[in-house]
Amino acid sequence: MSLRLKIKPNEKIIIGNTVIENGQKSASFLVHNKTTILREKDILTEETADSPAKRIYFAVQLMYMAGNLEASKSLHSSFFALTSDFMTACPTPEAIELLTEIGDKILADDLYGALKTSRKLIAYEKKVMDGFSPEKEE
Amino acid sequence: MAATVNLSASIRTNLLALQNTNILFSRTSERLSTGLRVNSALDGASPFFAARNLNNRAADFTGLKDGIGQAISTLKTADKGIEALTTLVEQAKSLADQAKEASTQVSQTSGASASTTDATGSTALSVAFTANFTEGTITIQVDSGAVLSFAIFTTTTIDGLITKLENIDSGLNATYNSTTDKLELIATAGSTVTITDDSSTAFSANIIGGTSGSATTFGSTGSGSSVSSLEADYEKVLTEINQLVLDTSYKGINLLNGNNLTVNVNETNATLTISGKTLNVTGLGFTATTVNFSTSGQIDSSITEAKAALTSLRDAASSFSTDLSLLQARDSFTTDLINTLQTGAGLLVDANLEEESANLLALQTRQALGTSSLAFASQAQQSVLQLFR
Repeated sequence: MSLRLKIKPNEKIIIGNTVIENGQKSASFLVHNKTTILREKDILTEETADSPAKRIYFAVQLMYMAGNLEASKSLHSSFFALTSDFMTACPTPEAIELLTEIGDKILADDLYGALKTSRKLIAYEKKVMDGFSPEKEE
Repeated sequence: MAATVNLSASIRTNLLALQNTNILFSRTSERLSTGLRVNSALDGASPFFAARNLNNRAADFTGLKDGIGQAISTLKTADKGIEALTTLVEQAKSLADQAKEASTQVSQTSGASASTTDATGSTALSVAFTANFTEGTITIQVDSGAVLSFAIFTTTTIDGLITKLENIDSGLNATYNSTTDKLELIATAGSTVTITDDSSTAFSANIIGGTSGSATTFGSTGSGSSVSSLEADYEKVLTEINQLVLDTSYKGINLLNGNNLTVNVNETNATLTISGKTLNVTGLGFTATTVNFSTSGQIDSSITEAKAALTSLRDAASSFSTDLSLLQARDSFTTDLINTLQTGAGLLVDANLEEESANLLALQTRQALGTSSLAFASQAQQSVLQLFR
């Protein structure tokens, strides 16, 4: 199953273990096999992972970069420590549902899905921190 | 007349507060006793059902984990089996090595004893073997090599004969055994030595050994008996290998006897199949459980088979250990996930915006102050991420 990718001028992207930077024009190409694909806008670094949810996202991103659950074995304890911290600080049904969904997806070898759910967690964290009740939002 | 107690407004407020505290207190003790913050649907509908849902999922994962645990045990059993098999094959190889060692020294001592017990290498054959000595010409052929002849005279010494015999073929050695007073011919197992002589008194048969004019095959006779006992031991080890393979099963799955093991590794019913291997004598590449050590060529092929079997065992062990480490990673992740679900179920509360927001901020500050919390990216990942700064 191929994936068509369009990248903007000068955009950086991770494909597998390789960082590719586009030239002046936007480009479009196909990735034929299943591999790690991360766009620049989806990448967090140690510096930019500066909130509890972003740290969880960062841990999942590293697992996704490692390839699979087994290869990311060394990250598991950090992942669960961050998850548990978040859960203790914000034990709302929505937060816990998102956190366990991330775990479920990692276990189901859907690391890309886990990363997407982590992004939802970042959005949820923002809502809570910005002072909007998550219940009212729904 | 019923007595009425008039309460002032301030006392009434205090009493109300006390009653509320009592309600809170009983709820807290209930939560303490069950370990859950939310205990019934009446306490808070959404958290209650969410908690039940989490606990149900934890239970599902526990089932999954049980399956993985069984698979781990099966793999560990197989691993132990391979360890034992390796010991057996190493034993077999060492027996074959010993046989090879012994067989190269097979000696033929069926000749007559010297009549003179104090004969040495420089003693003339005619003196040492008085009764059996005759002058004449001896013809020797080793395997299908050249046919060579030499003459024996009255003056030929024991050493002289030995030198002549040894010149025939590099694989042929001769020695005079002063304990048995016999001339011993030593040859590689499996080689055939044909000795003929022209004397009517059968010099060769009497002194060198063997029957004049007919081939003598070394290794299967004479002191080759140690080889045949090694051969029997080797066969015993092979039989034991087959038995061990049959015994190495865990709950009916025998990974060493060709059974495959299929494990559900996640809730979406994804499976991991661990392919079994057949590691019995035939599977390991041995021709049969019976061997023949009559010739060094045959022993060599047994040694080659044992070496190849050791390689197969190492390959199997490494493949099973990869599977084992995959399953162990999954097992520990599943355990942690179950803990998270159960902890989450215990923590669930109705959303309290101010509290959660403050808690998250506090956590963020704590994490920012922590030094090593994010230092878990691998070296390779760090170098990739550096490009995105």
